[in-house]
Amino acid sequence: MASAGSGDEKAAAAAMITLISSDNEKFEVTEATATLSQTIRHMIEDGCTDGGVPLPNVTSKILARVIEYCKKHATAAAGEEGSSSSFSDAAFLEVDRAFLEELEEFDDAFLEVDRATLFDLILAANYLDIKGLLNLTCQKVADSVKGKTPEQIREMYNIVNDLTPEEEAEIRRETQWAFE
Amino acid sequence: MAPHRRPCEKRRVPDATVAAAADTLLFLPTEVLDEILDRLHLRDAVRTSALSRAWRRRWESLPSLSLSFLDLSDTSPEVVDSVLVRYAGRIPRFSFRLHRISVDRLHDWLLAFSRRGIESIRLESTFHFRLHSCIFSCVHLVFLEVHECRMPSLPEGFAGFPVLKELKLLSASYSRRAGVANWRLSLVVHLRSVSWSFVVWRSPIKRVAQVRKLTINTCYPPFLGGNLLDTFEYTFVNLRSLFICTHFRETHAVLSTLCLLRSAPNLEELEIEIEGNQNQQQEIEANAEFQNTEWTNGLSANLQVVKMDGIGCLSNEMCFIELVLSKARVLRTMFVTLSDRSSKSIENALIELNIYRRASSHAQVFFKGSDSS
Repeated sequence: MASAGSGDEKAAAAAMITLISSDNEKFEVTEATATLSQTIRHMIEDGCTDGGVPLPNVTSKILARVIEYCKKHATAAAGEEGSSSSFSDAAFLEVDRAFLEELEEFDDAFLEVDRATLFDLILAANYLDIKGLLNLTCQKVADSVKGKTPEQIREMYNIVNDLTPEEEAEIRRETQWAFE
Repeated sequence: MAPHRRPCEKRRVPDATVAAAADTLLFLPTEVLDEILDRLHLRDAVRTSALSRAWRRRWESLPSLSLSFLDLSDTSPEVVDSVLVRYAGRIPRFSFRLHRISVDRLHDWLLAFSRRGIESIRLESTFHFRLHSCIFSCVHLVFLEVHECRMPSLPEGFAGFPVLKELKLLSASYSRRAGVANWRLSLVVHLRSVSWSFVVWRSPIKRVAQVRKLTINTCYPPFLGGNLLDTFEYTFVNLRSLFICTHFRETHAVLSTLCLLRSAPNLEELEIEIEGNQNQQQEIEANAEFQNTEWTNGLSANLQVVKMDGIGCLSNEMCFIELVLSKARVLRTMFVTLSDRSSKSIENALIELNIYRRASSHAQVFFKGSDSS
């Protein structure tokens, strides 16, 4: 069994959920980590997580990455709750800022993946309904398109140009301002 | 984003090998691709139309599209027209820098936006233009910022923008007939932050109390009879930060300022920018006694920071500063910047400031000459 969450002492005390990847690998995670996924949150609410949660759309490779993201961000969410009562305390603000910076660094590093993995992460985030991860990965794709010419985008995303030169010229003429 | 879905629903399972061979973006679920395209600038989104046949009309099918043109240096009106002609969906945001040739098109656009659920409009302009009354059709507006415009009169029975949260009217003017009085607070029920050039407060709406931050210009005399804010009966319970653009030369302006302060018992930050010709003489003598009568004790209970910009050291201004220092018990800092047309030298003004009694033992006064001197 892959032990994605078992090393954490705090996690051991909390309620654990078993996630099962499409290739039948089992991941044990805390409820706090798992419920970053709205999909899993609803399953827990419906009481149908006994015997593990099968995720037939997510491979073990991708699920491990998704859990890595959720663990980091579940800690962040818990930290935010804890410090909200003392928001006026400068020391706490300092800690918060440092933590947010760390989280940002984590996200940046997390996105350093090849394009196929990025798309698999998007699909997993969409399927599991993990808003933060979906935003993060979609933004990464959007950023890759920004300011690029159609030729560059086609090359990046395997898009075959089936427009005739006349059609393409017409499109460019219709909304010329977008191509300047 | 799609509402949450249960995992028992059958979903298209992507296969990496297929994805690698085909258009990887179009392979994504529709709502995810919408999410990605929604994050693009309008120009990038429109440019996807030249990728392939399947992409040609893809941006036109987005559930919503924000039209922001402020990043383009010189946008011709045809650009907005070309989008409106092709895109039939929701347009939540519009921001545009107006030119003389685009002003004529604005009315049609506003009308179109009002049918497309517009929530935010920002119109910048370098010249004064007339805003058409069809702005009142945009009933879903949450944010409205307009520069340099002549405001239309309110239509009969107009109940206000029901969900407006932020209103910025910069260098706005009003026709005598339209009357500033019409542009009153009844426009803005749920406002959180208001920037206003001219306001008359004769509104039955009490919920303005939610405003936390207010910017107001009280330089000009009211067009209605009576004093601008004299009969103002509301309390801005949540108001923490107030920026007033005003002067201390005429009764109505001094009264407005004091009245505003009276209405904001929880104010923490006050910034006053003195506007107008400092050579102009004081029309009235609002001496300490006069201002003190208008001031009430609870008024400055929470005031911590006060900024006064561009003072000319007129006696009314100095009286006001003295009053604030003598009443504000938790004041931490006061910043005073002198106008370049000050009637006193920096040294003399400083001497005068230093002898004022301070109610707060922590109060520090920072003093600065004008930038140009």
